[in-house]
Amino acid sequence: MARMKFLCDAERCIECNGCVTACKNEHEVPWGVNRRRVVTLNDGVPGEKSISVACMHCSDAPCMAVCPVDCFYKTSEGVVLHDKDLCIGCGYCFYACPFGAPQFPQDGAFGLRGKMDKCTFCAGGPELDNSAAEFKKYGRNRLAEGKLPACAEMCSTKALLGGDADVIADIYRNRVLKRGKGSEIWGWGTAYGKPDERPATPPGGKS
Amino acid sequence: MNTGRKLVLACAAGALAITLAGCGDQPKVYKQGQYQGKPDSKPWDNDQFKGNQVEWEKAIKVRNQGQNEYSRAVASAK
Repeated sequence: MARMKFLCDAERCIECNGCVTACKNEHEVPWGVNRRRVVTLNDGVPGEKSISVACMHCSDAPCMAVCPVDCFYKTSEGVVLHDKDLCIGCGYCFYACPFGAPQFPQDGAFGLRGKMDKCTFCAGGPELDNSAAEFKKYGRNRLAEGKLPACAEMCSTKALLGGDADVIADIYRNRVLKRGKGSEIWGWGTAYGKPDERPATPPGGKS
Repeated sequence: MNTGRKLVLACAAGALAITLAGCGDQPKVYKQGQYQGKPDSKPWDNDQFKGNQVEWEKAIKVRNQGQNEYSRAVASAK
């Protein structure tokens, strides 16, 4: 079974915002909502790097843990999705997310927060696949069409990879070996966990 | 029975019906930490793949490899 993940290669990202545009266009995302955006690290400093950031569909998603109405679920492909019919727009998930992925469209007067919206890995939501209701609430369900997220497939430099974790990690590994640098993947450890660096038992056997 | 009395009775009957309808609402049992929303279907359970998971995984695999320009370049050079 595929375990879906995103990987952004900072050595390749040219900050073209093609992924942002592809996402906006594919799902007809409203104004003020950015499911994906490009962030530049050390902007203006020689050697600056850009990365494309969206929901990383974390292995142990903090948004799922803090949601007071439990509207989040994880599919068998490892995609973190939510039911907008349950969401109360409290914003807890936004505070919990290390990537700032949850977005809240303005709903009504006085800046009232609407229901949360985020990247779905182009997998829609808990409505009938490829139905009008699903498109309206969550956007297009490309995964049900046998396709991968539009942002990754549209990336001109293939900096943004999205898909089965084993395959994209293999593509990246091959790439790093060929170019001989840039093995760090921003956000990978935060989203998908990293090996515990602490020893299992403290040195000396005493705590 | 005059019209006014009939009207009062009709209103009372309507109010009773609305009040009793509230009694029919079953309390929802909340399970801590469990997804409370609608169930979602598998991505291969649709008209395109007709429940064939293998076909879906094959399609995803092809798309996955489409992101590997090293293999694409080798394939096009042949």
